[in-house]
Amino acid sequence: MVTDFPKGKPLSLSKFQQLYSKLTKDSKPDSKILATLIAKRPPLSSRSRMEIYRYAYFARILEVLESDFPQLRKKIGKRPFAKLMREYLAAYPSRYANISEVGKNLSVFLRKKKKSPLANLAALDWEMSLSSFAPSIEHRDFSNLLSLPEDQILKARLYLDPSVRLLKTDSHYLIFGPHGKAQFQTVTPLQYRLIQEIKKHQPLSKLLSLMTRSKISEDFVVQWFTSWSKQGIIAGYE
Amino acid sequence: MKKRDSLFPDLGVGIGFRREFASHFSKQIPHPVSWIEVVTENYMAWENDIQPPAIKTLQRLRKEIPIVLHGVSLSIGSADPLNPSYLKRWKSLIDAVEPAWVSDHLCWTGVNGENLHDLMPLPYTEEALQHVANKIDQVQTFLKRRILIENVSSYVEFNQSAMTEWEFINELLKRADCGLLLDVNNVYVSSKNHGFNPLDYLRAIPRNRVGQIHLAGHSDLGTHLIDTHDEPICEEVWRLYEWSREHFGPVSAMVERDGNFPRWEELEKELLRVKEIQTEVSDYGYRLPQGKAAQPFEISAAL
Repeated sequence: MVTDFPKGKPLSLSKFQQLYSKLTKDSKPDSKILATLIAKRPPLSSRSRMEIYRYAYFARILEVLESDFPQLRKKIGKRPFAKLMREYLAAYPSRYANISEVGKNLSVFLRKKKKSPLANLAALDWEMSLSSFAPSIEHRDFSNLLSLPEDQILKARLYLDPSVRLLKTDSHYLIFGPHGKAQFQTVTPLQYRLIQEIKKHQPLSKLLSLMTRSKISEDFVVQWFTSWSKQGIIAGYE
Repeated sequence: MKKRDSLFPDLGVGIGFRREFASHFSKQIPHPVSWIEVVTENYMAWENDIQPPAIKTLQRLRKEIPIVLHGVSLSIGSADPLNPSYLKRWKSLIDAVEPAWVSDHLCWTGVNGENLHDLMPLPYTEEALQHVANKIDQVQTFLKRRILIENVSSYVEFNQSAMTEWEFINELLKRADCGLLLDVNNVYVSSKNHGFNPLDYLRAIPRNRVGQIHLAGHSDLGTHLIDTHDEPICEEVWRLYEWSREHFGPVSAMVERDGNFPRWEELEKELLRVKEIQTEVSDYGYRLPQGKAAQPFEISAAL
């Protein structure tokens, strides 16, 4: 039984938890709140006991964010990254069940802070993180596609590996990682559009009309599709 | 030892399944593991419907071995109401995996919609007790199954607590009609951090409500212990488990390891020790292994 129960009405559970959350997140926990909530239990002071929770809260989330945003962390450095993440969490507290979702608003946050280059980097890191999260599927050989009758070729729909993601910021990015290791490459606006259309399961006829309109050389097109196939970006056709 | 009228089946020896040793499960289930526990949120769909790829591994394992789902974000102790989206996604996972049972922690992880991703202790008050009992009732009604709630380790006590943790849990189990996932290491860690006798705690728990036991290691920082799950299980916790096996009877028990991962052989030794204790302390009574098993007063003195 805890014996030093304060006189007067106890705090409601809701008020109690709001104050405790504040102690967990504030850089300098308020002494009055500490004294109100935390029982004195030597040899550790109330502040030292609360510090265990304060440390664990931020360290756990920071570890996940460092893992999800490796390029951003490398670009700005460990300490500034940690400081930035504290600001981010204050602006965008996690409302997610899975801690891996905590970083999903980071690029939006940075953009609002007018830090566009960092926002772009964060967006790329995030898309790579999501890409590596994708399930793996069996890829299908589609070398026989061109041997089909023309009308069937035009109706065929290519499909992409689930890890393929597109990002348009300062450049057009194609992100993919069929084996769990995400990588990215910059692509031309036309390549971006083609992948976008494949993602929407558009038939080859639609892709061909796009290419015809852009007056792109047939050699280039063959080169792109061969490369995407070899890299595991295109997984098959149906 | 009395045979108990348990609400949960004894599945034997389990392990908290982590990707760091998933390769040991790729061809066959390693001895002596007879069930596994996984972290619910690692397999649940995200808010935006992204489905973790690991669900396929889980469904494959489920064909070979019983699985239990152990959550970290239900936040049953939060003053907030239950999150309908969370419940819905949890239920979908349950339907997909058909676990032997599901569990989460007796704690709160945030308030006003926020998740601090930490297991924070409750003030042991009548208000908190009734609030948590009501929420567990809502969960069990929604899931149409009895759940287990795990005692957490803690580093603070609160001025406004009006009862002990074990009084709180005992009453909660009755009011909510749920089971207890008894973490023996957490009892030990909290007993050292708050200066109580762990046997007072364990004796107060109703036998038939204990559905699962967790065993894990912690870090000793001299003035206090931290529940890190990155060290081997200490001797005192093994003694408490032996005592618990004798007292609570056949209960599924498992080893949790979440960091500083050793070679599989080291984990295997701990799993075999769980198996040995389960075998020694069987339905037919407690057979002392060469006088090694401690009686309660000996454990108490040792702690």
